[in-house]
Amino acid sequence: MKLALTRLIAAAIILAACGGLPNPLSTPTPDSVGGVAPRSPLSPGQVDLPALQTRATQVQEALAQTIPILLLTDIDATQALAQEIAIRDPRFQEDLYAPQTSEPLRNEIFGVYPARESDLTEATMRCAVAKCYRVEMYNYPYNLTTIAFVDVDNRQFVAVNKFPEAQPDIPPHLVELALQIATNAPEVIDALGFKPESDMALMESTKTALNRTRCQRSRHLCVAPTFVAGERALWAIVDLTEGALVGVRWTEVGGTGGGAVTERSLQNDVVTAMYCERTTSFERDGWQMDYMLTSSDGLRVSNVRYNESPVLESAKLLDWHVSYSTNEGFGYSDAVGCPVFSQAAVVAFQGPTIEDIREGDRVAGFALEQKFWSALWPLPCNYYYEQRFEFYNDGRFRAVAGNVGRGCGDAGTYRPVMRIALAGENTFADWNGSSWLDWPTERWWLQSESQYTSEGYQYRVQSQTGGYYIEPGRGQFDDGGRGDNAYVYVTRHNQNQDEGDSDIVTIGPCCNASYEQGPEKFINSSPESIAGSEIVIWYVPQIKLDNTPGQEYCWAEAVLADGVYVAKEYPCYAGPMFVPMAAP
Amino acid sequence: MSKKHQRRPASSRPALTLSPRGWAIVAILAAAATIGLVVWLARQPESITPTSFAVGDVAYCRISPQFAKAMGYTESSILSTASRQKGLVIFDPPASADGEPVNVYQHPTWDDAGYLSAPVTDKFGNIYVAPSPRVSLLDNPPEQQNTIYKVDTEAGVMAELIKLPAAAPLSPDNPFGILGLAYDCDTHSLYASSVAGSTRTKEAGRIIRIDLSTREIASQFENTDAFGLDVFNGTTGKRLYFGAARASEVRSVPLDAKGDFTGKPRVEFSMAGLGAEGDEKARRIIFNSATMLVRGMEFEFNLIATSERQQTEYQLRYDTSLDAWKPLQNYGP
Repeated sequence: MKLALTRLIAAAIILAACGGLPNPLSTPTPDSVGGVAPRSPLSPGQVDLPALQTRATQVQEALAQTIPILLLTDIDATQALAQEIAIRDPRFQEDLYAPQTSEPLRNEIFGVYPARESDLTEATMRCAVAKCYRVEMYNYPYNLTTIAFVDVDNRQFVAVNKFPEAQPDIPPHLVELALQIATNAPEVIDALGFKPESDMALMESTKTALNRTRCQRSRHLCVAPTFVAGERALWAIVDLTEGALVGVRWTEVGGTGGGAVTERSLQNDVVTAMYCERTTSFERDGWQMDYMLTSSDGLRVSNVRYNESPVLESAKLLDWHVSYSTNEGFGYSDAVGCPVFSQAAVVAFQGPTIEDIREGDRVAGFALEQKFWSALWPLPCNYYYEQRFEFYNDGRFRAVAGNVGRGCGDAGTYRPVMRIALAGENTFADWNGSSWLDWPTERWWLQSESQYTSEGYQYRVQSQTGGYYIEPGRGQFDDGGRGDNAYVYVTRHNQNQDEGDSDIVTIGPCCNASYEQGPEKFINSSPESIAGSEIVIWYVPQIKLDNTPGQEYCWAEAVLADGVYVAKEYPCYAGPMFVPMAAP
Repeated sequence: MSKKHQRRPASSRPALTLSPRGWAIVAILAAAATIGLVVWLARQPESITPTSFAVGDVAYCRISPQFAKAMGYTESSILSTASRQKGLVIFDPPASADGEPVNVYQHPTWDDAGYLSAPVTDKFGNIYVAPSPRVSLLDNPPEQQNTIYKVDTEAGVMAELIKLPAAAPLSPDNPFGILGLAYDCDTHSLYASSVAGSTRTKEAGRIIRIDLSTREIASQFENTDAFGLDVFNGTTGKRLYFGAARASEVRSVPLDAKGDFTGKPRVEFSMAGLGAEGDEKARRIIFNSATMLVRGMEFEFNLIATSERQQTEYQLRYDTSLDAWKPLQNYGP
């Protein structure tokens, strides 16, 4: 009977919930946002602080020692004895050097404490009767904590435990360093509206501790000084491995908006709120445009105008096709885009940046750039993609796809699929060596099968009011590019058919070496007329990676610098330049 | 193989003999008692299911597919959807830990639905799988993500079992449909968690019980984005355990004797701050007698390269006196 009644009640609830049981544990969606400090992954920080200079010197001195461990100072004689016994034991020294190169790794003693009752195990049983200390060491490149137990009465090493992906409590001098980085960071000052004092970041509950946090993507040592401002709290995540601010994140006081504030959650929340869910309008040097991050088509620029004249309806990058010739059919179709709720496999950790383009001593224009990373890059099978839109003061513009490795092998070819929808009606033509030949209907063409004008132009798009020459990459753009050998497809832009205007699910397979990269599906069996029409240009460069020493291209390696791993980058770039024609 | 049987209801009772007036009084009293009981039950924090099943996991009846036995595969053969090869494969384990699988076989239909979720088998040896995209949607189109496929135990042919309804229109931002499958030997039920229709701002997923006897949806638990699933019979009754797809928690919801959802979920285990990531989601839940294995990994509702998957395994033991789970070791930093 009770079961039946229970089910009766359950049924009532089901009805009330329109056919199902409601879930009272549904997660609220965070609505606060902060900012991400733009930087490259695994690159040394650029913060100019005296404390960081002092710290760098200490690290370098420690790495040059016979036992390359940065020792804890400001400790009493017994603690010093425990530290000394620990660092001299081979079991404690197992992770001091890189296995391949024997270079010293950054290791630092974070704490020396009397052993606790809870530390007693079979291995440390002697500490039940002897005076023991636990010596905690942090290994920065491995994100590893090593804890030694030392019997100071008998001056003997007792036991060692290792905890991968774990970080001990940080010592006071690193607390102070974190506070200095946070309180001097422009992002913190901008968010608060003033430069905070260090004591504002101390937690009321403990007076000394900083909020713990994690840097899951970089696997670095991170802490989170938190500043309370009215009803809100500003979390400033500081990366103590790099000595740099990761970013800031607002939360309600007493809550974190549904989860812990970490490097990943901060980056995801900020990028989503600022770039995935809204469009940014931008204006500079006669150029006007909107941009936003898409779910799976990278950074999209739209409504691009130059000196009030429409130039582009939109431009974006749909997929990176990565194929490996050593294993037929092996590869990936990587979409790039937003970090959460997206079809992207390689995602944005930060928003787009805008930087000057310099030609000699002068600023020739600006570049809108977006980076997409795999978390474990530059480890094998992790990727780092870039997307750049260059806009020049003289009216030129260029859509660029960049790759910084590292791929799953040394025989890979990258084929980014770029979509460029021109504004207005245009006629497309190619240069046959002596004249321009208009394309009457939709088609595709391979760069290596075409001719170039003396200026290096291969194609032309012409409208009633002007037009552009198209200059494919042949290594002439002074960015290290070695040539695009691109497939170019031109399709009619039908406004009543979605042929890539909205986010596109994976457009093509990874591993076709032919023109079949995806855009050809929009060229009908009887190709449509494109003369004097709204058209879309699809540009698919083919870039072979090279990891030959001295000739690296589309490649990256992890190398040691000051005892931690940093990335050595060998980027490759491809993409066409659009050069304005004189008005007819 | 252990043998567990559902207990039978109580045996028949002697008949009562009453006058019509007496029957009327009994009826009134019974009605009053019923109303009182309904009110009392409604005020309870959670409905309690009968404890008619033996405490422990519900996988005791699952057997290997008949077609596999006919082909010479044994109990130690492995059904896998995790290899580089698209779809389902069966193979014999390699002789050494670093060796290659041997006797690898794939029926022509087993890659029809693209990359697949982990397979579950039932008491007849049928296999159930669902599409599970990896790096791209090329082999896993969104419109097929909410379909469960069955590999027939005799013929070995994979075919559509049921297409689950999404709670809301599919969002282009959410590339996933079914995330988890689980089978309950006690009730011959297949459970599926689906996040089809969920968006960043709306948790619209559901957990569905399919009665495999009728191949129809029998019960739904709404507004829940769930990942890994499994069923466990505790001291207070049968519960479906699920990994929350938006929080680092393993939760459970009570089931009745038929396996239908009957009450509110409760948190069984929090992984917040634990493991390699600190915010992992429970991708797999596997019960074995009185232990629970939880495999946690990063999950942000976007596609992710396999090489990026950092996984943490958590093991917990069931405490029958508390009807609760205790980690077997400290998983904290």
